[in-house]
Amino acid sequence: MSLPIKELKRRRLQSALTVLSLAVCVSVATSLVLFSESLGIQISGFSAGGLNNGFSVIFSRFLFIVVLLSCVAGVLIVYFLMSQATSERTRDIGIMKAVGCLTDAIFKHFAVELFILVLGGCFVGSLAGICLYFASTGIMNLLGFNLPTSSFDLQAVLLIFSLFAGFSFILGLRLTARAARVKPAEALAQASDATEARQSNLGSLFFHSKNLSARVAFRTLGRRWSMTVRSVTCLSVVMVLISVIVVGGIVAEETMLSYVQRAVGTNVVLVARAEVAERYVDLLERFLQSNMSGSFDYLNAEYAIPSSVLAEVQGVSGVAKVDPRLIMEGALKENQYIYPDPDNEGQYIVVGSNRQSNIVVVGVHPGSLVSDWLLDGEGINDDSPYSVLMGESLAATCFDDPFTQSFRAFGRDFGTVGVCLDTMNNGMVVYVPFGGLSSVVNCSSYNVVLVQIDSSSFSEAFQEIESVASSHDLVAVNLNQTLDKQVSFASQIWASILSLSLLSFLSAVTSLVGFLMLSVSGQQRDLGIMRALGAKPGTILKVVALQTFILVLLGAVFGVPIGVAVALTFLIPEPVVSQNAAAAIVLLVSGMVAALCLSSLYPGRKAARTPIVPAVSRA
Amino acid sequence: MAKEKAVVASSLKKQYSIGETVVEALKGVDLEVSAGDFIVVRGASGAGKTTLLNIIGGLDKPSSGEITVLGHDLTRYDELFLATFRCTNIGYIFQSYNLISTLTAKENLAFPMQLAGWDEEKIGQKTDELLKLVGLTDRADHFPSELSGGEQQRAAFARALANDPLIVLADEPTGNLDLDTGLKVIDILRGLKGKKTIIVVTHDERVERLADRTLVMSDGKIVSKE
Repeated sequence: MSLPIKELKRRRLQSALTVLSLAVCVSVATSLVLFSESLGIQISGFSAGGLNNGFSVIFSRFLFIVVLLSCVAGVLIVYFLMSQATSERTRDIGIMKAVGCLTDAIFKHFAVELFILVLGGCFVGSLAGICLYFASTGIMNLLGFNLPTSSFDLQAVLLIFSLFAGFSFILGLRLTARAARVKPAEALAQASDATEARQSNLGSLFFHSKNLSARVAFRTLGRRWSMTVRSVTCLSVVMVLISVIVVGGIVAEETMLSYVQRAVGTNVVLVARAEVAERYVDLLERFLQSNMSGSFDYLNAEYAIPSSVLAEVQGVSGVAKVDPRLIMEGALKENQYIYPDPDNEGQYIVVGSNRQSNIVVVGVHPGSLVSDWLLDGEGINDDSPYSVLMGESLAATCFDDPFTQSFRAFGRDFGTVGVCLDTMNNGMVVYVPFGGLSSVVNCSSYNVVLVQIDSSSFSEAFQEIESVASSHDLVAVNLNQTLDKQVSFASQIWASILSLSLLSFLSAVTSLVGFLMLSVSGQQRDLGIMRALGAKPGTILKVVALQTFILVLLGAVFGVPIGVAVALTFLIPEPVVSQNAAAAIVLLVSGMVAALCLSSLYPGRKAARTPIVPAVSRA
Repeated sequence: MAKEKAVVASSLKKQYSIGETVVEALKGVDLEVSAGDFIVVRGASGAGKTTLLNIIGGLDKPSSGEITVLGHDLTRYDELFLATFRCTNIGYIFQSYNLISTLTAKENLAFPMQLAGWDEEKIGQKTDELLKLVGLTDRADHFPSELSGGEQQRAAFARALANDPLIVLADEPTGNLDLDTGLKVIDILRGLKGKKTIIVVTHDERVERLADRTLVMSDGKIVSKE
């Protein structure tokens, strides 16, 4: 055991970079999973968690992809760091074999080194991830959230630890086994940078460039072809990660806010009796996890809105839509759907398990809705009075297949034609054509009216509606305030998730800089010779920076389109990309690519400052 | 008329730290080399020969003492000046060849000229001339890993002459070579004698016979000047 430890100490830079890269990736993945779980988002299951509404699916998918890409980037970078280290030591292996060391002993030696590096990196990373999680929840609680701070999901930590350690160890062992099998003569004959044997046209293509730094940079990339391919692969994954974080984050936030706005409606005024209005706003704000208490008699005759109110409101200048509704609460029971098994004659397949839930039921006129929900399926219409539109949370928690199953409420069966993303009662809601609900509950009056007003004349129209309402002992409530609360709530969660996702970007950059430093350290001898021949430090810096710039650009060319495609096609249904969002995306992606390019200055500067004699003397 | 001094070193000392151990590579070297002189330096391994050569070539700085090369006190200049100085005035032949692994033999030869800003046509002519001089014309497009030790040494030799340096420093230029290649290198050195200031670290008696003077180093000092 002492020999591998001594060897790791001797190769301090490589050992430290491998442990650091692994630790950073593990810590970010750990903190992301723990933090999102404390927010109530179950990453692993794609299911609605504590947020308890359909929107958590978008959060979950986003975080799942970010964590997955972070893991892939981390494992890839660690794998390449190890393969670089192993190829640098091929000569050592040759010497060990030449003096009589058996292949098994060499394999064990390198496996022990690998074990120490992987275990060290994962252990440090897990500890750092837990600390990061507590720091994040502390900050969020200071901002007004109420996240648990006394415990964390140990199973999730162990799972991430095992995943990273397992993959890194398996990939590393593969490399070690391959290196240990090399014949001694071949190993001794190889240059220290054994991966450079392959030729590529890249160097000769650009070697005729007039700029010396560019010539050398292109030539080096072409000659160190496998290193170039590794670097571009790593960078592409990092670029996919960056694109998903930036594009996914910004577009998902905009799209989600748009879903909220579409569900609640903009410039909408609620007219109802004061008690009903208060209850309605509470139901809308259940999205913000506000508590509600007690039962409520929605069908109380006092709450019915006189039909004259509708006509008066309709006459107010600036009113675009009047959406009268009958709202009530009730119990729902899922009906099982049983059908013959096509593969086994005489057998039946049962879908559903007779689940029950309390829900909000809203009777509406489909032609005058102020809501324009994101829909899966079809909208409702007056011709099918018992076909309903169901909130996404209800569909996810109470049904296996809401479209084939029916449910029973108020003593009647209903079928589902569409599932909508809605904030009302946190998505535990069904919208029924008014005629259907009215006949079932035997009530032909409305208890709320939603009035949508043109934005240009909102304040005047709102005042007029208020006076109409008060003349009938009703209240008019501006729902824009509720909408703003919901939008700001969603924005806050996105801001926290994005900041955590940015950590995975930082982890990727940190690992990448380590990877580039190792790559530059592999070229240290050549760079030293160039300096010995009279190359100025600026020339060396340009050579290294140009190499990195080319690699980053190639990574961006492959990675960014994939990331954008993943974000827009897989992550977000019906994405909303405003001009501002598009500009922000372009700016942020360019900024991050620039940051990656700038990060190359550090290894470049280090290479330019290394004393010549030790650099040239490197074996 | 007295010849101009190419190298003047006085009380030159160099210390290295390896962990907690301090190694004194040079312990006060005094040396004067006139322009056009051919000097051989020999001594046991670890005597400080390569360190002395590195300091004269501007690759390393002394811990104390003075070193003046072609009238420039090298201890006073920064890396930017030293890079230009090395490029235009010094031709260095390293013991382990030190060809740039990612460039072909021809590109290695062209590199110092490109650094000096020569035009492409002149570089082409000069590289062809040098390749012919060292007998590597047919190996011009091979990478260092594809050349034998002798071929690499000859390429390194040609590269050292690329910018027509005033001083040629060679560290064991025939040490790793077979008899024939060694003779070729000695022939080239003979051709340079009197035209350039040459300082060669070697134990090869054939090279020593060409020298105007031989300095013997031991334990970081020049112990004899023959």
